[in-house]
Amino acid sequence: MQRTSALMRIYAAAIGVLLIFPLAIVTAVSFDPGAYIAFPPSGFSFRWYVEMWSNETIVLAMKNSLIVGIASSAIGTVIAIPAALAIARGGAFAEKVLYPFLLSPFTIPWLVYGLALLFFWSVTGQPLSLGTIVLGHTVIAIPYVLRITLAVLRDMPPNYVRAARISGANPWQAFRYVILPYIRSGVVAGASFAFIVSFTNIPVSLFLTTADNITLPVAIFNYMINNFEPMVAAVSVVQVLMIVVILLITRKIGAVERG
Amino acid sequence: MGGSRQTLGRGAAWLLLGPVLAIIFVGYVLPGLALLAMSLEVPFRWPTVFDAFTFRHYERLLTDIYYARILGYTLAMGAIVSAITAVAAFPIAYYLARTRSRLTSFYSVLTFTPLAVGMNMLTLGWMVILGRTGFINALLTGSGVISDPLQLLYGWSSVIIGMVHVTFTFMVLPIEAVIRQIDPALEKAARTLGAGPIKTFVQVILPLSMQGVAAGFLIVFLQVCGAFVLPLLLGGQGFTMVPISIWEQITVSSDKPFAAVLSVALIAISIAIMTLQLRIMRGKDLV
Repeated sequence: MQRTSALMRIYAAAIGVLLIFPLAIVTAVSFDPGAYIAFPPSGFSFRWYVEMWSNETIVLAMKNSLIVGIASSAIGTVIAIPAALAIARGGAFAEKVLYPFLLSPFTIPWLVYGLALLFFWSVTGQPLSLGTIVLGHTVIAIPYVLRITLAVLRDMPPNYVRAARISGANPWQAFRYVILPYIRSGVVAGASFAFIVSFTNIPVSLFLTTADNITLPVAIFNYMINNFEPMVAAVSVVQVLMIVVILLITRKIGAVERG
Repeated sequence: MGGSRQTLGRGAAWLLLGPVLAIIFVGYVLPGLALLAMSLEVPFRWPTVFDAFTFRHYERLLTDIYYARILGYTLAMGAIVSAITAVAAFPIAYYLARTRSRLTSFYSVLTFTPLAVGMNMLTLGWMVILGRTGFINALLTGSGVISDPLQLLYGWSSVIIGMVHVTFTFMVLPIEAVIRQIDPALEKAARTLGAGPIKTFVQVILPLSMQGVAAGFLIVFLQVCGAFVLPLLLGGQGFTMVPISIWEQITVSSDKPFAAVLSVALIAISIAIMTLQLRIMRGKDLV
């Protein structure tokens, strides 16, 4: 047993290194002052970290992605919580038909979904805007929040709500003071994951972006296809840093009022 | 528990579901119908609908051997990546399920990174590792093992490597969840009765965790069949899977109806796999 677990630890360490190796490599080449990506980097400078802020497309895309990410994860969360409450107490139809259907935006090929949205908006005659992207991202945010909220709700002893109701709380008060504190950390985790999914999504947005509503990952994607310079790496690193900051903030929000 | 579960009144339930259903209807059901209409070339101009339609794009999909081959490549890629990921992820899932330490909680954060950093980051990383002027070639030429850089990037192998990486978490999670439910006493009993570690693994742990492996396999399979960014950039010129072909129909040949037909075919595959998944899971939430 001792020998197998030592082997296991070596394997786990190797896989662990492999999992973050691409990130380390991108970070390394992002400091390359040269005009194209190569390994080993030709030097060390913050050139691309400075130049990216004077690139109008990148700055606009960053702003757009923050708006889309926050809006879609917020809307998705606000509408998914009541749906989770209904499904948790619903019957076989909610369980066997509605729930899998509401989760299906997670498994459907996202490029296909993006294409469907493009056709939909061209039928309605609506011009493409940030709103059209927000709608798509809201739909794919729903499964993330719904799944985790429902899991926490099913874990919750039914007596909690019953006790509140017997003590005279109306349904809203029972939700606000009993259910919401209980599901809070789960909801925050689901919402932050929905944000990350939106903030890094390429396939759903790809067909919906124009010069005005371009998102950050789509801008990076366009650069990767046309122009392979270290700025792409620098912007990707900044994108990951933004995700880390958001995760740290939401972890704080999810952690308070516990225990 | 049994009868104590409160059920909501119908009115209250629909009220709670209303907002989600409204968003799903406008943002998901209607776009789905628009896709279907495009694939049949329905001259869809609101409010006049269904003037005419044609199956000719579906006929093209069924008769052109080129697209049958692309479909085959896509499914083959799904099967290969799922199999490799299952083998690679199983020991990690076992390790995470059976050990508790500060190291394992750090490790579970690590297994989540592929989901959290975005496809552009991971794809770029592998492009720099495998590229002509990339990490591996720099290492090999620098140490004098080879004089000319190898062609590692582009084609099947680089797409497989990248896809195993990005789908790794989806395989670890369900297997880990299932192994957690296996009573460790079973392993101890097998060992006490004289089974070696390998026999214990093959005859006790593996059969009991097959449900998790199946769940992971199907999720990864779905992810691979729908993957676009990574196969496009790591596959290079001439490498095609269904999503890449869909993108080319739009950006290169501007054939919207045929892009829609390919999309419908891909969705049909996805629905088939999802149905299979629901059957296997029987209501269990593993991911």
